[in-house]
Amino acid sequence: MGPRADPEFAAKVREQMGLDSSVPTQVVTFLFDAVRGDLGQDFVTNRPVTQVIGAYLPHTVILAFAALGLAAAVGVPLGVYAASRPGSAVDNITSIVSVSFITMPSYLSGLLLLLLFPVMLGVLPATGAGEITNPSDYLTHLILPAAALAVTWVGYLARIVRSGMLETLGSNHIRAARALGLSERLIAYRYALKNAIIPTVALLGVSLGDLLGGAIFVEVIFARPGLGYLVVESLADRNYPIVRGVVLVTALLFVSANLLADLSYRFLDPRVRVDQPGGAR
Amino acid sequence: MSGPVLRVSGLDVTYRTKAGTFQALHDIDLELGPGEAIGIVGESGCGKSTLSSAMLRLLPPNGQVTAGSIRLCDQELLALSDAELRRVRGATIGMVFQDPLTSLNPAFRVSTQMVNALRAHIQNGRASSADLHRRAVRMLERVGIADADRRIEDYPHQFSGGMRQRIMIATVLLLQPKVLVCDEATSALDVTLQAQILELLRELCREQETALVVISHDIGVIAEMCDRVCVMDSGRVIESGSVADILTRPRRPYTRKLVASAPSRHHSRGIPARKDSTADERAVVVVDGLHTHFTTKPGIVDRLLRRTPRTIRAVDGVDLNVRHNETVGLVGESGSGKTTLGKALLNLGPVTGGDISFDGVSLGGLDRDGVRRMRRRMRMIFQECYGSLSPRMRVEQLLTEPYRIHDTPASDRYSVTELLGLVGLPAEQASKYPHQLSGGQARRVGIARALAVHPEFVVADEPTAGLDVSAAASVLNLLRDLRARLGLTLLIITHDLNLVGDIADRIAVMRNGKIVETGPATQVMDAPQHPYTKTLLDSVPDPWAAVSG
Repeated sequence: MGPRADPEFAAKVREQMGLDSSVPTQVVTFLFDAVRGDLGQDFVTNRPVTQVIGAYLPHTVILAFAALGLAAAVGVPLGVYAASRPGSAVDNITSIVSVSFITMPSYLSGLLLLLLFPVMLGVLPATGAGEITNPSDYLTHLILPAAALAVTWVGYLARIVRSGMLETLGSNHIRAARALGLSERLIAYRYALKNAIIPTVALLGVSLGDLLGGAIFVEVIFARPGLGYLVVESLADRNYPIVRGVVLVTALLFVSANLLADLSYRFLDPRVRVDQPGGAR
Repeated sequence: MSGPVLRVSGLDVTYRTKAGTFQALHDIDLELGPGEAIGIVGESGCGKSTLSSAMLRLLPPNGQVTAGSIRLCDQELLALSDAELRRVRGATIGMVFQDPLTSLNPAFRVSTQMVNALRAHIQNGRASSADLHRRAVRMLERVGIADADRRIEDYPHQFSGGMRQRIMIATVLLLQPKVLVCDEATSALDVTLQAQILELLRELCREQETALVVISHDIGVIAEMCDRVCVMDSGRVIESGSVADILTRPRRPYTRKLVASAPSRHHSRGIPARKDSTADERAVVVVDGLHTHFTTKPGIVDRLLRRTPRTIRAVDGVDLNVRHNETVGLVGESGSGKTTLGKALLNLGPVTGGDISFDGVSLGGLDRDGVRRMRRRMRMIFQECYGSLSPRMRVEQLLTEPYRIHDTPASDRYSVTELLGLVGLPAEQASKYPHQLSGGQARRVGIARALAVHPEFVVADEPTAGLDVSAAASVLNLLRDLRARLGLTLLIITHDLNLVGDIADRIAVMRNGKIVETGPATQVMDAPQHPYTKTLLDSVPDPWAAVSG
């Protein structure tokens, strides 16, 4: 409310928000309310926080998954390709590109992309999220932010998939598969990749959390509605119930992403599966 | 007989390394008729695996054929394009590798892997998936996988090592190659399994008229499988001929050494059997009714269904005495509980019931300090010769580590040079890291580490695992010699009955957690009482059986 707030009004707000009770009581009240789905009231508009977050959340989740998908779609083949020709020019170029991508924060890649596409080339919209009811409009608005967010993870994935693939390609069962006359394509993209991708999946869980956090810069740069945009605005307004709500939701998303990654192990690595019917040992 | 299916002539293979080029094979000549079996024997490093890889053009990227030719069914293998080569691999020449645990892809079902192999070699016309699947199931049945039509949908990790090697053989022979290369295909298996797999290979190759190339360090395996044998040393074939000739009239000293170190019950080995029994009657280690049971941890589903947890009786009521300065051999197949027992002896593993006492003190009642003092007197030489040495420590640090742990006063310490000398290693090895050592050298460092603190009782778990015959023989000689010099009491755990036959005073045979037979070594070896001991003795491939009929 700032230093010039009316003391009377301040007292009223304090009481209304429960700030006059002790800290432990506040925590307990918050927890009980949160469990019931009540995260308090928006300071400015007086709408329930859950409603506000609910309106912004889908944009961020779509952005994070789009970035993740993009990172996987570019990073994984890049890693496989580099690993199948270790030491070649392609491999070296991939290494240089991956490392530069890893070190590039999303606010830099976002600005560069803005400069390149909408400003210099005049393609793709620069700001906003478009209308979700108009999918092609929404998608064209999604491309640049998602790409800006994905850049770092393209680099990471390419590096990790490459080293995983190199290790797997040197293993005995790959040698045995070659001795059986299987094609190199089948060996690289099926036999080896399925083994090499396992450590990558754990990383994807972490990456999703990172993408949600990284979304803040990207959303601000591209003036795109979303949790990051919301939290920056709310911080400026000292709209703490919203900030608190966003922190909670982000934490929940992060935990569930990691849980999902752990569960997906079950599908990728048969050795982790329990209760196999017909298993002898 | 038509022309040879495989003819290697004048083959040279060179590896490029950082230190320069290294020629691994020199002028190799080899000929193999259809349905014939030829053995290639030699110690590790002699180039036999390079030769087998070259036969499928599977050399590592830094390896190169620099001269010679490999003709496979009148086709020059070295001139084939990648696509042609792919068609030849598997279909005309197949290969079974050493380690069954890692040669199947862990992420795919057995059925997928077998069907993919078949599909890779369909030249013209389409075969239905159902038909390919049926052929795979039939082949699995043929190699002795029970319940094959259901088990084929399992993943490799659900099979035991022996079963996996059967599956590998089934996959390779499914393509009915003209030549099958077996590179140490049974070396990782224990003796009874080895005998079964060799029998299976022999049968299947006869059925399909497949020519066999058997590569092994074990001349016994080759004598069982082959008619002819080539002896390799330092990349050259130094001697070749019929198995009987090589065994009875080896011309080269190297061959004589190989033949002499092969295990046999009919002939004494190169190492003279120990006659001087210095064991006195006092029992140092007394194991009384020892039980170690492992209970599987029930999952949520098990608890919901109220399944009773499965109990694995790894050690199930074992009584064993080891007398002062005696060598006892504890023999059993993998899974018989012998390692669990060995660990329990040194208080390194869990004990469910029964008691172990050392020098009159029960190990069960010891506190932390007591255990530590006891561990100075009882040491273990671990099976994993590299795995038990920290990869980040130099040999000298590894050797003096026990002194730091036990706060040994300087007067009781050996110097690093002394320790290395004790196990026959030159002093220069002190500054090396474990990965720079050969298997035999790493094993020796493990032994030196165990002996550093002047123990009275040493448990050696598979002291020769992973070593070729001459390295194994010299490690055994070393143990024998150290026992005499230092007055050690030894327990040697192994799956190889012949190995301890020469070195042990007494042998205990273990099966399914129980000791089925104990007795003086000569008695157990010459007149085994228990049928299981007989099976163990019979499963060892005996080169002389082929000669003496």
